[in-house]
Amino acid sequence: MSQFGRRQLRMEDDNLLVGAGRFVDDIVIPGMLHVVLVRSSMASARLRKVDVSAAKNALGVVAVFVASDLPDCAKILPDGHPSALMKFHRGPQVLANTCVRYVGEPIAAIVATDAYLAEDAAELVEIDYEPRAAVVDPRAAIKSDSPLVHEDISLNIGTRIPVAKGDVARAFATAPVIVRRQVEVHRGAGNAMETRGIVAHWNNGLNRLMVWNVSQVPFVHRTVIAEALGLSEISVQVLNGDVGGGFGFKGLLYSEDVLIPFIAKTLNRPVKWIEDRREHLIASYHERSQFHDLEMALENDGTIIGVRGHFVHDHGAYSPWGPTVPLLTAVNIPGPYKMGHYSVEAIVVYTNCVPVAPIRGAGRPQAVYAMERLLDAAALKLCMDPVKLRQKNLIQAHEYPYDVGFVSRDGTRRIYDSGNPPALLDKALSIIDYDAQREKQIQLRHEGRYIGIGVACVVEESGLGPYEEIIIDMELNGKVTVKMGTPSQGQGQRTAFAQIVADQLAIPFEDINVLTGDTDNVKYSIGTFASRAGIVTGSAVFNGAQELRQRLIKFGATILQTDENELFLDGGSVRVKSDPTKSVSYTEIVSMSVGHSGRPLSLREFGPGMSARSSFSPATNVYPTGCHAAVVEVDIRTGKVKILHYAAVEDFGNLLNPLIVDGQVLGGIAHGIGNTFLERVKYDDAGQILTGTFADYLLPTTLDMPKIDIAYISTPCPLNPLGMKGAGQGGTIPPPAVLSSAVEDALRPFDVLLNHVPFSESEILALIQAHGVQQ
Amino acid sequence: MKPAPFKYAAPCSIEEAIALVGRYGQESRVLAGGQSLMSMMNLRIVRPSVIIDIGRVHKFSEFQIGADDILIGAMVRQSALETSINLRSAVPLLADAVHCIGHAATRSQGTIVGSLCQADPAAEIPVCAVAMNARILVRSQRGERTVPADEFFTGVFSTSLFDDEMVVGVIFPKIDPGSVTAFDEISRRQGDFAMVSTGCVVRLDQQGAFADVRLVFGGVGDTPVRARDAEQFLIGRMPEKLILKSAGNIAAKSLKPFDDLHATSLYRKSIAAVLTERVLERALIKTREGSH
Repeated sequence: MSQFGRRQLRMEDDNLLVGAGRFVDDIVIPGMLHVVLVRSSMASARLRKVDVSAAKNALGVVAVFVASDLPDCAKILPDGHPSALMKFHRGPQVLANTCVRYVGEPIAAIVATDAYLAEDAAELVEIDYEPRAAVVDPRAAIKSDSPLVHEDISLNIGTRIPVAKGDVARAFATAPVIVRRQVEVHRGAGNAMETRGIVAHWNNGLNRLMVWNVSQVPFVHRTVIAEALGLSEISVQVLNGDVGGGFGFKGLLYSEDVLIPFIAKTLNRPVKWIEDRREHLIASYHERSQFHDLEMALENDGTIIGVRGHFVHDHGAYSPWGPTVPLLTAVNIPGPYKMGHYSVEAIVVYTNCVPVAPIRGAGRPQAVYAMERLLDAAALKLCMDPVKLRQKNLIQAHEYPYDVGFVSRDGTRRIYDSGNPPALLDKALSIIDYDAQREKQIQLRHEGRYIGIGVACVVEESGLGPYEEIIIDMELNGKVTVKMGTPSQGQGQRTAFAQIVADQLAIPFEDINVLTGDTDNVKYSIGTFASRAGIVTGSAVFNGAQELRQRLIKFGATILQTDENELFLDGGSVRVKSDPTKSVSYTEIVSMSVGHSGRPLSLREFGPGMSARSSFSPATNVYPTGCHAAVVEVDIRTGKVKILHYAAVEDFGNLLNPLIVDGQVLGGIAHGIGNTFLERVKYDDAGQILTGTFADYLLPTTLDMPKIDIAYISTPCPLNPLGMKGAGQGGTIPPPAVLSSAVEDALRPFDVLLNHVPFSESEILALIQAHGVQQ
Repeated sequence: MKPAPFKYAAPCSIEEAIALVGRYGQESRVLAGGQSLMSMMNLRIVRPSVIIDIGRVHKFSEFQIGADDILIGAMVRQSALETSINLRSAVPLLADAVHCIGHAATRSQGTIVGSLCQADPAAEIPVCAVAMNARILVRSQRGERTVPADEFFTGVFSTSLFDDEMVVGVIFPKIDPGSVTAFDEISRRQGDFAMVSTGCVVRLDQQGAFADVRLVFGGVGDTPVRARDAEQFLIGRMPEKLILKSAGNIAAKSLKPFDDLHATSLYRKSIAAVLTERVLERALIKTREGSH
């Protein structure tokens, strides 16, 4: 049986389950020093004076760094994901120089012999702030009386991104039905189980910097570190051990990414910094905060004519990863629904909050939430079943490839390559037994119980370019090693990529070793994000394995004196089809290709060794589709929501390892449930963050997880050799939309409208009570 | 998230522990299960200069069941409320509440007395202690005294302990044969501190009317709060649905809860009413079933 598509248990798990993983904090180098950062306690202030003299003299302290200790090339972070759409880019300060712009911004770095002493010394740094007015709400930030986050950026607007097709003005002028919704999605944090962390070591003998970190984009880090420290890229090696989750926030550029290597090189000592949970909650980049004001025009029969409006995107104080999030929202709002006219503008606004950059889902949960809220409003206005309204407007299977009509986030025309949204919706409805639930809903209302049903259909883009490169080697013992640049944050790459190779070379899965997490593996790579590694690296692995397969066959043909077409691979040997006992084993071939010291190669024309180097460069994004549905019950006396049943139907194209994909979907839904009910980063008006611990920032636990059924309907993607689409984010994107719909549906007798996520029991109960329900 | 420097002492006897508390007083903190104290130290919200770890005082890990009451030592873990049938049957209110207290992992470390000393107004065990009229057993080098639970809690995270005193145990009266108890709470997530929690102790007279009621709330004030108005309302009344509902409304009206990140004051009042009905109903079911 082929390995592709098999629910193969993960090679990674044995080590992780027995606690034998090796994470960045497990790295100990003799003589290693520890860094603790002093962070701003003010959201906006001039720094009159940063006095580190007492800290410098504290027990165990080796050095203290402030902005003036950094060379010019290491003062400001470059844009990690540059985009011409960003008019006024402002990169984060590595250490705050003359002013601070958010609570948590790094100001000084204490270097000490242990982290405890460093934290003691950090308390001795005296900072003389000259407070300035801060702005937290991006809607206030674009008013003329708002304080400015960056003095030279008027109205705090970093850029405006319009995305449009058709003629909305005309279409709306004559539309029979128009609905409008103003909906907000609030800030959330990444919160991987493992926080960020870096160990840097300057190797004097080799003139080379070794950096262990937790990056999703180690090659980006390599380049940025090299530039900041005035080194060539080859002089910087970035490594990952095991990584405990990425979720986007590890795929970005932070001050520490440059600062820790700089300190290690400057002091010529190994240096470690491990982000603690409090730092993570107050200072690692956030996402999601956006305020949407959108209208939808429809025909009386429910056919969507168009969508128009704008949204205000809270970008935080700096732009570490371009305008990726708002751009993704702007292009994703139409989703799998057809419309002739579309015009939405993203207004990207700086605020005195933690910078905003992609976190799993990346702009798409907002897009889907806004679109589905509009559809619910339209269904209500048209007195139509919300499912029927969606069915009416979905792109049909025969309409693929489907040109949405504008340019997508990667600069190419947004053309959905393949899909079948109506089938996904039908399947989701059958899983939750939609018609029966509708009947049950009516019955239960008589008993004073309120259940509701929600659905949402989504498209996301995945498999971003420009390329990934791999090297595949067969060793003398016949085992195979694949080296690549895309690191793992726990996705199971060692397992999944080995499955691809096993099929091509007809060797056991266990005989394949996948190496990631070392920038010395290949020359260039982009990284693991945007659901791209499976598609892009996976296709490169497939191409490389095929090249190696061809090379084995070429050798076999020469050795066995037959035509290449007469040969096949089986059981670690190249065999002759007509007589499989005539064969040459891989180990013999490798031995022959490697040769023997002092003698000529026997097959000189093929060159030495059994290696192949290969790559894959996708022409465009690919487009997974999904439909989620949920049944919830709301206790109208407590406002508590119970998710009775959740269905996720996904079209991720061909599934390489459905077990791993199940895990991605389940984890994604957990994140989405958090985004709907629990996870909210909260600031007060002065820009102080109120959710600095896990007692305030609530994550969903296993006890909050409902019954979830996952199903796949796969339309193979025509744009890569494996027919895959990305699976990393599909679970995260729809839940806020689906669950909001379901809760509104349950509370229809009370005319409850939900205009933001996350929402709490308090808010639901207040909305019910506002309707006049006596407790 | 590293604690400020502190000295560490690990006494092996009660006397030694008390001597250390006497010596270091205000600048020290007693460490039992550490589930609250350690994270507060790591955040440097609490900065004791001496930590007195009582984990090696074996006597503290014991509980003694007497004829009328039960003494729970200072190191008895919350998980004992899940595993000890004797403890559960002696104080069924705690048995009822234990599933609401944190998670299995925290209960295996956290102690019953530790939760009392922490005096978090949203914690479950203080509510149970006040509802059950528990007595806190306190010792210092000056001697021993007991403090009724409703006098022990004086504010958010604060108690009536003197600086040289430590809590060596808590004495719960055994539930009398005619009484029943019930506990319930509503929290944002299972295992969180409650937005509101409610514990009740109920005794009906021979006609089936309420003879004795204690109704105590957590999460609605600086300390566990008794709803005396509602208690008085119920006395002498028959346990009918409308009566329970009224009691809930009276209780809610008497409470002055606060707004915080997790719930509004108004929400807390609303669910206090619902919880009142729920715990009373549950208690009444137990009365009918003849259980506690």
